[in-house]
Amino acid sequence: MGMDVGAKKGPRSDINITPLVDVVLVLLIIFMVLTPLMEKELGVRVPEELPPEMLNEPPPPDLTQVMLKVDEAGIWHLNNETLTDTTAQDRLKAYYKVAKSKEATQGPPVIFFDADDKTKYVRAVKALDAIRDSSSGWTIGMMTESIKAETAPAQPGGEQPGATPAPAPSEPPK
Amino acid sequence: MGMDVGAKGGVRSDINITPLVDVVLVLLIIFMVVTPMLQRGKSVELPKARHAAVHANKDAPDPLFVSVTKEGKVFIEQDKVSASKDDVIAAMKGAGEAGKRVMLKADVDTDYGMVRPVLDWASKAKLKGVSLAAEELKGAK
Repeated sequence: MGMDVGAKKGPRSDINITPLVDVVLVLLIIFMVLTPLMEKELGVRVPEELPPEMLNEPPPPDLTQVMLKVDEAGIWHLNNETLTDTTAQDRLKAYYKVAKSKEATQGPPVIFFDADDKTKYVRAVKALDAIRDSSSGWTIGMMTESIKAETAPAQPGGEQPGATPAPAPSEPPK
Repeated sequence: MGMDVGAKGGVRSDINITPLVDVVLVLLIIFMVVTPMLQRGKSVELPKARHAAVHANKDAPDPLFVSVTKEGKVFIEQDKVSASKDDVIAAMKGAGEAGKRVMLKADVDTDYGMVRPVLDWASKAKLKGVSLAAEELKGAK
């Protein structure tokens, strides 16, 4: 960014691009810094508040409900089965296949999720991430009532995850 | 940013880095000031997830930020929610009717028992779902 001083022959005919480059570089740096700051997210569903008369609709006879729970120790339970790190993906994929095959009668595959009150949030998100790992087709339904509190008679209705954490009504897929 | 004036022997061949340093320092200061302001909601340590992504629809309206801190305190944007949960439900309902989604920012160390009520309120506010804020985890599994 020096200045040409003194006797030079003739006017300079080339455009001075230095300020242009300066501005472009500054913009580049600004965007490089800002882009990673954008908020990333995982989408999940919550139970829909249905009018009471719709709660009495019977669920489909071959209803498959998939339910993942994280217990206090951070261990995952898929329906009645305890998952280990090595089997989790296989089992989730197997359940997804079954749920997907029944899409015509039961709608898109839904997996219900809950974690123990004492579980740290980071463990819950890890489990949600694992569900997305197994397939991006899952609709993740967050249960809004703790399972322990569920002593009242279960209400029917497949779209009522808050009310019906049914214990493995389906045969575990092979 | 001085100018060389007068009789000096020869041409200076070293680049003058003073303006460069000026610009870099100014940028540094700008970002130091602006970065905390850019974060919506309360500042919490977000969990990391491989499948976290920027919302697919770029034109979606700005979400409503609900934050849950380590201690289990709930904030709507920057405002602490006092005892009443109805405020949260009302705010979520307003957001839902405006077509906004609700972004839930919970700290990694929050007990899940503190997060679940927020989901329940979202359900009561007739929302279909919420977005869980997370940091993207880079790298293969």
